[in-house]
Amino acid sequence: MVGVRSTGGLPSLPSPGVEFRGDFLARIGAFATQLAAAREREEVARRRTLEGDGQEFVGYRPYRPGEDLRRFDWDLLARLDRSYVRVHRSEAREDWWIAVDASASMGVGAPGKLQSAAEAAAASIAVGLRLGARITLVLGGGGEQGHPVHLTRTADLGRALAALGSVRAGGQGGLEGLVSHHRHRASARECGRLILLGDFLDVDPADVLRLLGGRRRMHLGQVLAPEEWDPTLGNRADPGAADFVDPESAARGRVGADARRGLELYEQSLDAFIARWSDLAAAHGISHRAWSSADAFERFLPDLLR
Amino acid sequence: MMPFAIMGWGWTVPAALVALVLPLAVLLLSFMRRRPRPVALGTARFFQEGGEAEASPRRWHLPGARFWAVVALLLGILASARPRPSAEEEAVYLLTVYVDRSPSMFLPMDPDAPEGERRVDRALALTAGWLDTLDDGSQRAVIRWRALEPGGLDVTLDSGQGVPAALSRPPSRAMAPPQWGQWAAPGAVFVTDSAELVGALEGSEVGLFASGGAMVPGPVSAGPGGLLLWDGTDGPLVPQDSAEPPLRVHVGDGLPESIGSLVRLWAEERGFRRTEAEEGAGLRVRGAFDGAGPGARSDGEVSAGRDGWSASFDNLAPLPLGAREGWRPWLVGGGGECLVRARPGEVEVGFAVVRPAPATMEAFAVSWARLLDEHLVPPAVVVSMVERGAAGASSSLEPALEGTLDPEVLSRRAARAARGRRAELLLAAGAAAAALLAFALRLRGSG
Repeated sequence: MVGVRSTGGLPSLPSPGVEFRGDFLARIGAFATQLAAAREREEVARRRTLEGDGQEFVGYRPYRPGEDLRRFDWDLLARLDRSYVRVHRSEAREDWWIAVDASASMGVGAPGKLQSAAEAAAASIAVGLRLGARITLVLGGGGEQGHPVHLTRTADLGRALAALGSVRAGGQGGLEGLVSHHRHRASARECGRLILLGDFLDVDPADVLRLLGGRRRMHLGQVLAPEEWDPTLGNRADPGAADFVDPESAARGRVGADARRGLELYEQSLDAFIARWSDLAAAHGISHRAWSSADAFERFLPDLLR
Repeated sequence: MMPFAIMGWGWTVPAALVALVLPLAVLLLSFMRRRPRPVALGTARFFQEGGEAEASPRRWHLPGARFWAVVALLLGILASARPRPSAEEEAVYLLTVYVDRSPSMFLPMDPDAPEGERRVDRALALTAGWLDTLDDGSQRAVIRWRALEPGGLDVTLDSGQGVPAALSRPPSRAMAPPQWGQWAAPGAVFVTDSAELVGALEGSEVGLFASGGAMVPGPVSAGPGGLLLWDGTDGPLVPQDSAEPPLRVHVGDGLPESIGSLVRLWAEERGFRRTEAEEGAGLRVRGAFDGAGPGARSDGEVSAGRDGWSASFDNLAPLPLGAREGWRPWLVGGGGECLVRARPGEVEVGFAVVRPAPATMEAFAVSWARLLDEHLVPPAVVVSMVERGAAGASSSLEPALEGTLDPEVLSRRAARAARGRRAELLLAAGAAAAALLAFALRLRGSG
C-alpha cells in the first residue's frame, strides 16, 4: 500500500488503503463455516431450553466437513446417497448493520487499522450471510458517508469485498459521522445486530448508546495500530525524535524530555481510554474487543461476535 | 620512529587514519540540531493529555546502534592502521667493509698530480660519507673493516670512529684484484676503484663505493735492464734508463749452503742485484732453523720431494702455515711438516741441511728456480697495464640495511611487532563485536 502524502504539514498515512490477499476468501469461508456451526449449535441448545425460541426448517444444503452432525440428514443420505444438512432459520430473520470507520486515523499502522477493520467486517459479513442474515454495510470517512451496501445472499460476499477493497482512509468523522447521522441511525435501529468497527477515537459514547434499544445486540470492535499500543516501536532508542501527529485533527504530541515519564503517561491515558469503552460496553450488555491491527481476525472476531 | 606516536604506540599505516573522518562525520551528523520526525498516530492526543505536549528541548541523540557502529568503525580503522609500539631505540646495523688493496687503488686520481688524491682515498671518502648518514642518533652502524690482503687489517669500529688510517697505506706486497663473489652477503660493502661491479650488484643487498679514476701511464714491468714504461697507448713500451737494476734479491741467514748457493746462482743468472737490506728487495729468501725455535729438531732425517726430485732433510724447523699472512706451503715432509713456504716477495726455508738425491739434481735446481721466479715481486712503482687502465666514473651503491640489523635489535623489534599484532587483533575483534552489537540493536529496532 502506498502512503498518502499529507498536505498542510500532516505526515503521510502509512496504510491508507485495503488489499485482500489471495487466500483471504478461503480464510473467511473457513471462519464463517466454523463460527456459523458454533452459532447454530448454540441456538439449537437454546431452542431446547427456551420454548418458542426455536428455529424453523427452511431446507437442505450440501454437508461441509466440520459441520455439526446433529444437523445431518441420514434419510437423504440413504435415499440419495448424498450428504445434506438441515437448514433452519430463526423465526425472526436477523438484520445486521455493520459500520466501518474509514477516517484518516484508520490509515495509521503497518498493517493499517483500516485493513484490519475491513478484514473483520468481511469475515463478519461472511458469517452473517452463512447464518441467513440480511446485512447493511456502511463505510464512514473522508467527510462523506458512503451509501449503504445491502447484502442478503452468500453470493453478495463479492460485492462486500469490492466495497471494502475500494475504501481509502481520509477525512474526519468516521464512525461518529455514521452513528450521529439520522439516516444511518434510522437504518441501524431497524437491525437486530450492530457491529461497529473502528478506533473509536472521535466517537461520542452517547451517540453509540442511542442506537441501543429493544433486543438489539451491539458489538464494538476497537482496533489500534501497533505503534499506537507502543509508540517506541521502530525507534526504541530515541522515542523523543518523533513528532506524533493526529492525522485528523493535526494535534501534535511528543514524548517529552523525560521519555520514560512521557511514555508512562501516554500508556495510562491509552489504558483509560480503552477501559472507558470496555466499561461502557459491560454496563450496557455490549460486546467489546480491542486489538492490534497486526492481529489476525480469527484471533479476536469469535469473541467479538459471541 | 613512527609518526603520530601516542602513549608509546605508533601506526605502521598512518594514512589509514584519514578514514577517521567517517566516524567523526557520523558523530557530527548525530549531534547536529534536527527537526523531530513527524509520525502519524491516531492516539497522539494522549501525549498532550498526559501534559507532555511541550516541545522537547533535546535535539540530538546518538542511538545505540549508531553508537556501536561508530565504535566498530573507529576500532576497524585503528586496526587497519596497524598499531605498533613505538620505541626510541636506535637501529644498529652490522656492516662489513671490504677494501680493495690491489695496486690500482693506490694510483692517483689525476695522472698529472702523482702526489694528489689517490683512488683509495676517494673510495674511502665516499664510504665514510655514507656511513656518516647512518650515525644520526636514531641509528648507527658497527663496521668491520677488512683490508683484502693476506694478514691485512681486520678491525671492528663504530661508524663514528671514522676510517682506519691503515687502509690508506699501500700493502707491503702487490695484491691481486679481489674475487668479490666470495664476500657477497647482506651487510657487505665493497670499496674499490672500478664501478664495473655496480651492474652486477644492483638489486642485491651488497653496497659498493667505487672511486673511478683516469688512466695512469707509468712503469708496467721491471727486468734486468730496468723499468718498462707504458705511455697509455698501444705503442711500444719504452725502457727507462737507470743506473741500477730495479730488481734486487736479499739472501738471508740460516739457509742451507746448497740452497744459498742456488739462490745466488739464480740471481746472477737473471741479472738481479743482491742486496743486504731486506727493504726494497723484490725477493727475500731466508732460513728459519736456528736450533732453538719451537719444534726445531736435529734428531732425524725427513724425506720430501716434488717436481720430479726428492731429497732428505735434517735440522728441521717446521714452519707454520701462515695462511692468513698469505703464505702457501711449497714443500711438505712425509710427516706433514711444512719445510718450505712462500708468498709474493718471500721464500722461507725450514731446514738447515738438505741432501738431494743425486739422480734428481737437475730437477731440483729447475724446481727451485721456478719457485724463486714465481715469487719475485717487482718494485712498487711497477703496476700492470690492466691496473693502470681507466676505472670509469665514481659510483656509489648503498647496501640494503634491512638484513643487517643487530640480532638483539631485531629480537626486540620482533617482540614489539608481536605486541602490535596482538593489539591489531584485539582492535579487529572489538570492531567485529561492536558491529554485531550495532546490527543486533538495529534489528531490534532500538537503534
